[in-house]
Formats: sequence, structure tokens, C-alpha cells
Amino acid sequence: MLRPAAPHTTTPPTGEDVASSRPVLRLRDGSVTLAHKPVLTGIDLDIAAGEVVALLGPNGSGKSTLIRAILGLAPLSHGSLELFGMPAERLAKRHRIGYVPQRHTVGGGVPATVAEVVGSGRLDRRRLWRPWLTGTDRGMVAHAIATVGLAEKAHQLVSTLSGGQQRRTLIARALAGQPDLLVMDEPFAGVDLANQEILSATLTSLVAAGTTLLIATHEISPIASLVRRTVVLDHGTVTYDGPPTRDIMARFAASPDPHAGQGHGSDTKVPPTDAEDASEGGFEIL
Amino acid sequence: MEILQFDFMQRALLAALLIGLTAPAVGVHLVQRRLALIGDGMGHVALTGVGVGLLTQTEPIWTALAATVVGAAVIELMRAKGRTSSDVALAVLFYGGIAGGVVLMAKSPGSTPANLNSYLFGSITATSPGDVMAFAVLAVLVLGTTALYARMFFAVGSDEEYARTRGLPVLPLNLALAILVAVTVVVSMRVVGLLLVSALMIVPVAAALRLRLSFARTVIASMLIGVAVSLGGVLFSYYGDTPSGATIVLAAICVFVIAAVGSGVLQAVRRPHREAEDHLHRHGPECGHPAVPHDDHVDYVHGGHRHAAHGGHYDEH
Repeated sequence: MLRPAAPHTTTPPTGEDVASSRPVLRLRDGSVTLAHKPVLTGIDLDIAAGEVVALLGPNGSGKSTLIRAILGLAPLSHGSLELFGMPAERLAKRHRIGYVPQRHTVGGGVPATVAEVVGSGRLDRRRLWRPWLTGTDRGMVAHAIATVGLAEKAHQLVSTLSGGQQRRTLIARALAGQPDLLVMDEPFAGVDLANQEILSATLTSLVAAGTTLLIATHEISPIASLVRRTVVLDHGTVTYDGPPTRDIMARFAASPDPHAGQGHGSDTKVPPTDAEDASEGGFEIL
Repeated sequence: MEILQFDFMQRALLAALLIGLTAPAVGVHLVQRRLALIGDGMGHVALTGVGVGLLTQTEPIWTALAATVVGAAVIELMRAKGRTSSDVALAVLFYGGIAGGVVLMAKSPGSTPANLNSYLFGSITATSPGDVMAFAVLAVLVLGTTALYARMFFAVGSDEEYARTRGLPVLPLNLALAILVAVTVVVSMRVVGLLLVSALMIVPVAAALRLRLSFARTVIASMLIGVAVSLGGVLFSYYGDTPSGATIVLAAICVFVIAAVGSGVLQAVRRPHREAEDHLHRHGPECGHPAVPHDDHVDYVHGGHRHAAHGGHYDEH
């Protein structure tokens, strides 16, 4: 069972955001060039507060680069990016954007516990002259860990967890900052079915709490019930932007994920209808 | 204890205590970044600073500190550029440091091979009261900074890209860490010598890693190990008439071997068990899964296999 969902872990969309119809994210004519090769060309993307957007496309279509450009990791060679109504480079409150990277391992030659890794997600709320975590920070860390269902593993070393649990740790790290916009890069890659369902349930409760989601994935099934809008990338340009049609579902749901379902042999993933079914239904299959 | 009656031994033990605490506190971040050998290179660069000090008859601690801080900044900036040529450039810098130091010291007034030796391998009993004061100030500076910014160093070290998306000042933090390493090198210079400086930053951490603790506890454990081997090494070197620096390093390596063997044995002895698949569901009388008494506990039949509660998870039985 999923724990009772967050008492609003996120700032609800403010009147300002809606009234001025300022999108959470506005990318105009965005282009990215890496090693002299154009990877993204002329991307326009607006995301409004509370939207759940799946960024779809085959491997190499530029999904990850677009995510990196939004996060400021890949500089735009052309175009402009606004976040929360201001130019991206002037956004001081970086914690408003949560980021779950595609890697699902946490690097480093020294082991760390789930709570320590998730604690990094609060640092952007600290000032350089007051770098330590306060009681509020620790509370949010514990809450984020509980949200992804790892409360009992909070003080275990991340390296002892399964791939799916490590991914959930990184999601908790993103949630700890209480982001308004959560950007995830392939959150389901390499995650077994049971963990996919726990992840879907977590995302469902986040959406209910008003978080805006941008999820890059080549597999829409685990989030099909949440997604109202899909943006398809191909060769660095947007080829479709709209609701998930039957055609889109067929293109991005049927393909069995080569990484997933370790030992479960299940390619017939039924999109979960709601969180309850997602968390309970899965166990009966196992 | 009779050895405490000697002023030079008091200073030696105090210096050993200071670096036993400081070196692993900085070293843990190097190990996390897989930069265990950087400290070694900084020791090489420091020798040129010592040479400059002896040649110009300035206090070598401060010239060594200046040279090492500059070297550290150069190394970090090269690493930030991330060019493939930086590996070779580092090697050039490190060898240049040693060679420059040896030549400068040979040309210094009143320099002897024994002098060079004492900088390369440490000469703890030569620690002057002024040295101890300087070490104490620098050590407090290093310990205070690492304690305050441990989480930020940790965040950058474990996932630099993520830290960047958080708006953390990644380059300044990395530069700060490089400078802390430089200061630690200079503080450790008298006690273990420039060629063995890195060992005291790395080996206690390597031993602590075997205990499989959290990051915070790994830091504390490696500092405790650092203090134990530094003090133990100095005492042993006094009674056994061995060189202090090398004795300390050998003591650290002994602790590492004991920790490695011990943790290996412990793992073999512990009853191996297989953890059940992850689920948010809690088994209990009301859960609907058939309960099966099994020895002293209850298993729950779940999807055709039996789950037994174990700590925070379920085992397959």
C-alpha cells in the first residue's frame, strides 16, 4: 500500500502563474549543438503548471539533450529558455526544478546511505554561509524517502539496494527539494516491473499534489494513465505535440523494454488504472 | 609516561594528533572522487616550495604552502577543463615539483642530503614550537571547513552533474577542496614526509570503507583510525627507533589489512539470506496472504513463495 500521500510537498500553482498565463517552462526556437553537430533544432515547448508531459522518441532522438538543455547542463546554441517566467540563467531558486538523472547508480568511492544521498536534494535551499541541514530539511528528507516507499531502508547503504530502489532513491532526492517542476530522464529504464509500479504510484500522488512533470521515456506504458500530453522528438525536432493518440500509444507502448522485467518475464504491461491497483495488482502477478 | 617529559616528544605527539585528524577528514573526499593519488602529486609540488624557502631563507612551511596551493588550483582547473591531455600535464607538474625541489635544495646554503631526506620522509622530532603553532592553526582551519561543508563536498563528489543542476558552486567547492588538500599536505610534511603524505589521507579511509558505514560514520571512523595510527606510530618509532613517518604509514596499512580480512571473514560467517522482491505491502494477520508457522516465526505465502520478515525487508524462506 502506498502511504497516505504527501501533505502538499509542492507549492501549488500560484495565481500568478495561471493569471499571467506564464508557463512553467517556455522554450523558443531552442537549438543545441554538441561537438559541431546539431542535436536539437528549433524546438518550441511550453509547459503549463500542473501538466504531465511525456517526452517520447527513439534512442538518439535528442530527448536527453533537451532535458539537459532545460536543466542548464547543455547550453543552447540558439533560442531562449524561460523557467517560471524568467530567463533560465537568472533562476536563482534552482530547487523549483527537480531532476532525476538517467543513471540509476549513485557515484563515488565512499558508500552513502539513502538518507545521505536524499539529503543532497535539500542543499540548494541552503546558503553558502549556512550549509548545514536544519530540522525542516531533515523532515523533508524523511518525507521524500517515505513517499518513494523506502522509509525502512533510509539508513541502508544505497549500494546495497536493487536498481529500482536506487532509482527511487534518486527520485526521493529530487522530491526532497519540493520542486514545482520535476524533470525525469528515462525513469523506468532498467527498473523491474514491481518497482515500475511503485514509481507510477509515486508519480500519481505527485500529480495529485500539483507537481508539473516532464518525463523523457521511450516507453509510455507505466505512465499512460497520467499523461495527457505527449511530445515526440525525432532527429532533434518536435514531430508531434498533443494528446496520446492510439497511434502514439502503439509506437511507444508496444515495444518491450529490453532492460526491464528482470526475471518477471512480463512484456504485457497493463497500464495501471490508479495507484491502488498499481501497488496491489503487481504483487499478485509475482 | 616518561616520554612526555621530553618537549620534542610532546610536540611530536601533538603534531601527530593534528594530522591524524586532518588528513583522513580531507582524504575521504578524495577517495569519494576517486582521486586518491592527487595528494601524492601535491606532495611532490610542495618540495619545490620547500626548496624556494631554503634558498631564500624563508620559513619553508609558508613557501611550501604557497607552492602547493598554486599547484592545487592549477590541477583543479585542468581537471575542470577535462581534457584528455590533462593526465599527462599532471604527470609533468608532479615530476617537475620533485625535480625542482631537489635542485633548489642542493643550491641552498647549508643544505645536506639529510635535510632533503627529512622533508621527503618526515622528521617529526625536528618539529619546532613555531611549527606546532602553525600546524594547529592550519589544522583547525581544515577541520572547520570540512565539517561545515561536508555535505556540499559530498554532493559534488557523488554526482557533480546533479550538483550543477542544483546551482551549487561546483568549481569553487572543488577549488576549496584542492586547497584543503594542499594545506593538509603541508601540515603533514614534518610528520610523515612529502612522499608519504598521501598515505595518511587515503589508507585510514580505505580501512574505514571496509566497515561499510554511512558516509558520515566513514569520516569519523577514518579520523579515529588516523589518530590511532599517528599516535601509535610515533610511540612505536620512539621505542623501536624507527623513522616516524614510515612507521605511521605501516601502522595504517596494518589496520587496513586487519579491517579487510576481518570484514571478509565476517561476511563469510554471516548466514547468507535471499531478500524477497520489494513491495510496499506489509504482511500481517489481515493481509490476506496465507500465514504459515515456520520454526519460531510466521511466513506468508505470497505469489507462490514464502516471505519472512527480517529487519526492514522480507526474506525468501
